[in-house]
This record gives sequence, C-alpha cells and structure tokens, in this order.
Amino acid sequence: MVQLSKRISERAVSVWRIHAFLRLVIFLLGYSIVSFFIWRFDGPKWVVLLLAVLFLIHLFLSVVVWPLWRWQRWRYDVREKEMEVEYGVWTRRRTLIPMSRVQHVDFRQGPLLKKYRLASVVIFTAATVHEIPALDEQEAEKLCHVISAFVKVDDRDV
Amino acid sequence: MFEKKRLHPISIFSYVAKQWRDMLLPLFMAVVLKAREVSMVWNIAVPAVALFYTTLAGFFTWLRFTYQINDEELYIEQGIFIRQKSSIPFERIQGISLSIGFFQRLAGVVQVHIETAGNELGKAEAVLTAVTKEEAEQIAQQIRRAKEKGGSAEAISPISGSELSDDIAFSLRFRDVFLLSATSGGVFGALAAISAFISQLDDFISYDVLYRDMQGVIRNALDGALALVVLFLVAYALSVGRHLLRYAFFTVRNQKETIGISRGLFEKQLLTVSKKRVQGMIIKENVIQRLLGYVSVHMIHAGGSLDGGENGSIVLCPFVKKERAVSVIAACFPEYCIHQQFQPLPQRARVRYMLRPVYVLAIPISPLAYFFQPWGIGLLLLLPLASYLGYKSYRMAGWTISGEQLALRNGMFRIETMYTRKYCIQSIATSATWFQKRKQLRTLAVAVMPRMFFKVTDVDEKEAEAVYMWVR
Repeated sequence: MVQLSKRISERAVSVWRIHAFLRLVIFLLGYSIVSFFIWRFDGPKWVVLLLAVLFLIHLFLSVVVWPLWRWQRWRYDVREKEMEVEYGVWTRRRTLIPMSRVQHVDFRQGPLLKKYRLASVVIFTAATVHEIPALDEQEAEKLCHVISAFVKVDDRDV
Repeated sequence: MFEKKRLHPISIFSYVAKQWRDMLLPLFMAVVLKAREVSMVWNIAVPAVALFYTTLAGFFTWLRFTYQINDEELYIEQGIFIRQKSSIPFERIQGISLSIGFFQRLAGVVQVHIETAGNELGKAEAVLTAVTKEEAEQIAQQIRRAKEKGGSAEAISPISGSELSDDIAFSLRFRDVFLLSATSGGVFGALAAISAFISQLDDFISYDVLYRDMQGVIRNALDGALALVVLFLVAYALSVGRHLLRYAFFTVRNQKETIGISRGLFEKQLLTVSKKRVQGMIIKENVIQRLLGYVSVHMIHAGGSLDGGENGSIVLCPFVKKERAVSVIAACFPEYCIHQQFQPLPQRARVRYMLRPVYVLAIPISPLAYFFQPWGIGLLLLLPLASYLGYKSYRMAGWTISGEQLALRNGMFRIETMYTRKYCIQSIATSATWFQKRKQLRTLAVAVMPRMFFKVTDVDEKEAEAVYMWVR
C-alpha cells in the first residue's frame, strides 16, 4: 500500500517531549524511592547504579527518540468516501474509516496544545474513536469542517 | 386526558426481594461472622434495620414512580429525592422486551424493557417493572402507530405476533438443553461456585470437629473419589437446572421485519429484535461441542443486550447442529451466507501460532518447574500440548469475502466465526509489529460494535491489503 500523504504538525514533537518529561518526573520519584531503600538497608550498590543507568536510558528513549519516531510515522488522509490514519512505532497500524460511518467530529485542545497553537481532531463512529493528534490549529478546524461536509446520512445507518 | 399511572404494587416486593438478594452475602458476613455468639445487636437489629430500610425504600420508589402513555411518547417520572423526568418518543424506541418473573406471575403482570437508539450499551432506557398485559400491548401498539406514521413500517410487537405458529424458525428441544449444559462448561462454573462457597464456610464451621468427623467419613481414596463424584453430580444438576430455567421453551419466530424470541420456564421472557439492527452473526463452538457437531449462534445487535447476556449480542440458537444453524440463519437472515470455505493463513504464520502459546505458558511454568524439581519437570510436558493447540488454532483461523459479506474466524478453545456485511463495518485496521513485517504478515481487525473487535492475526500482507481495500 502507498504511504499516506498528510503529516501532523512538527510542533507535535515538542509537545510530546514535554509530556514525556512530565511523566518521567513521576517515574523519577519511583526510581528514587527504590534507590533510597536499597541504600538505607545496605543493599548492593550496583543495583542503585543500574537503576540510575536505566533511568538515563529511559529518559533518552522516551524524551529524545520516541516522540520523533512517533511523529515520523504519523500520517493521515481524508478523502470524500473514506479517511485513513497510519501510526505506530513498534506496531504499525493503518485504519480505514468509511465516511458514511462517521457520526461526529470533535475538536480538542488542552492547555499545552493551545500554547503551541495545536489541536487534535477526534472522529467517532458507532463503534470506535479515532484521534488525529497535534494538528495545526487552523488545519484542525478546517479538517473538522471538511469531514462533517463529507459525512452524508446513510439510511442503513444505525 | 392522559393519566399518570403507578406500577402494580407487586413491584415493591420485587424491588425488596432484589435488594435482599444483593445484600444477602454482605449481611450474612456481618451477622454470622462478626458475632460468634448470638447477640441482640448483630443478629436481630442489623437485619431488622436493613429490612425496614429496603421496604421503606421500595415503597417510596414505587410511590414516586409514575408513567404516562401519551399519543407520542412515554413519559416517566421517578426518584425519591432527585426527581428524574424522561420522555421517550415512541418513534425512537428500537426494541421492547417483556419478561414475567416470579413476582410478576403472582400478580399477573409483565415487566417491560424499552430500548432506544443512541444510548449506552447494554442498558435499557426504561424499565416498567409491573404493568398489565393490556398496557404492554397498548405501548406496543403506540410504537407501531408512531413507526407507521414516520414512514418506516417496523412492527415491534412482542405480544400480538406471538400467536402465530407457522413462523417458528427454531425451537430448542428438551434433550438439547441437557446436552447444552453438559457441554457448555457450565458444569465447571458450578463446580467452581460450590468450592468457593465451601471455602467461604471455612470461617465459621469449626475445623477440628469437622476434621475428626471427616476422617471417619473419608477413610480411603475410594470414599474421596465418591465425594468428588457426588460434588460433580450436584454441580451438574445445578448447571442443568440453570440452563433449563433459562433456555426451556426457547423459540425463535421469524417475522417479516423482526425476530421474536421467547424462552424461560418460570421466568418467561419475550423479546423482539428489529432485523435492521442486526449487524452480523457470530457462530461459536467450543472443543466438546465441535466434536459433536453443535454450535451456538449469536446475533450482533446494535443497542443493548435485550436478553441480559453479553453486551451487544443476542442468542439466536443456544445449541444447534451445524447444518441446522445454517438453515435457521438462511431463513431468518437470507442476506448472510454461512459457509465453510475459508482462506487459510500462509504457511509462514504456522510457527508463530505454535510458539505464541508456548511463550505465554512458559512464564508461569518455568519457575514452578524449577522450584519443584523432580516432579515439576513434568509440567514442561504442557508446552508441546500448548504448541499443538496453537497449531490447531492456526488451522482454524482464516477469513473470507463473498459478495458484500466478510467473515473472520479465530479461536483456540472456542472457535468464533463472525459474519458481517460491508455496510456494518465501522472501521477496519491492519497492523504489523516488527516481527510480523519481517515475515510479510498483518493483523486484520474489524470493528462492528463498541467493544466488539474481531481480528485475525498473521494474515498474508497482500491478502490483508485486499480486504482493507475492499471495505473502501
């Protein structure tokens, strides 16, 4: 299959990096508690060292590498009859949603996304929810209108 | 002109009984386990207060529940402190099911479940616990009238349609009810329930006395085996009884636009399903049923599960010979074509299917095998068995497209085959992990209903793409 054409905003990488970093702060707490107890009760010192190394690897992967890969893999395409999304770093997934199945579209924007002038578009069918994350604000708005214009009432709809 | 009506007062009893059934176990714990000796406070006051409270609550719930059947809508007011008013336009009602439980039978009334489109799955929009048969009939007629006015002549009437006898598409024989409970694994469920109950009793049956007595009873292995057999027989009888109550007189009526299902021995249930709302068919067969050539047929139903079973599916035939299932479906849903020609998975998927259960099983088994050295090693014999099951599952899995219909099949202990129409598919996805990609394999997943995904793992890349494109 040919790769889809449209990409999400490049600023997504920065947002995801901030998110990953915030999550890592919580992880750091967990790492420190474990290390503290090992230190306190005279556990083997190398375990603490190992934990520190693990944390650094974790930091590097989740903050530096992963958001970039994730952005590189994210593609979508909206056509008159159907829309497709393609994403995933380890598991690559490609989903097709026939336009006639779309029930409604949401425009979502959290504080962080707002700061970066980004927004996500969430598409609902009778069975599933699909999110195109971190699009440029204006583009997201345009996409919402485009999709709702394509959605036509189907009499076989449930 | 339209009067506000209350339910039949028997609904107070049915409410109280239901509350008591839910409270029985916690109350039992509180009363029996808390106080070893009989004490006024625990053994009498607590249950008395509970009984008083639920009766009061039951009475006021009944008092504050009113319904009104208008020309256009059903209007319900309920709630003791927080008043809830809901109006349900007849035009929007998608399904209605009647059931007659113990209390309803006593008073000669019926319980009506009303389901509308676009509400939460598995939750009937409104339940009228106890109304007269005439009123249920009136509601059904109002719905029919509203539908006719709205242009869609969908007849939803569980009562008037049921007098005809020439439209019976399927009925379950008594013999089959026994076979069903014998093969459905319900026996093991009952066994588990009994053993759980016995272990619960541990706390207040004095151990030592029992042990001394038991030593007398179970002197040797023979007696032990006998005890097991008795336990099994009891479990079996319970399981048969439960299935008998649930599936006795199971009859499916095939009407023009609807499927009517009636069933139950003491608790009668009548439900009507609009054929338009059926999104697909699932055929399930477990290992034992497969050997005997029996299957169960379920309809994927958009909207709640009217029959109180799994969400989104309604049993069409609980237990039926495979060939018969095909003809029943052909009679009720001619647009579905049930067949056995499946596109098998490619050869290179085989090893993945054979190894996957081995990985899963190896994680709990290997430490066990290590710690219980001499005999624990024997557990490792389970691994080839798991691998064999994986092989079987590889042979069973597959997909097929015929005309507008897509069928997917997978499963290990229980094989499930899903048939759906192209226009019922809400979305389709292909995915590949790094390993799958290396072997040019894909996982194919189809969503028909919320929380109802059907997938086949390790389909050939080209074939998966073909199915994906077909949906477009």
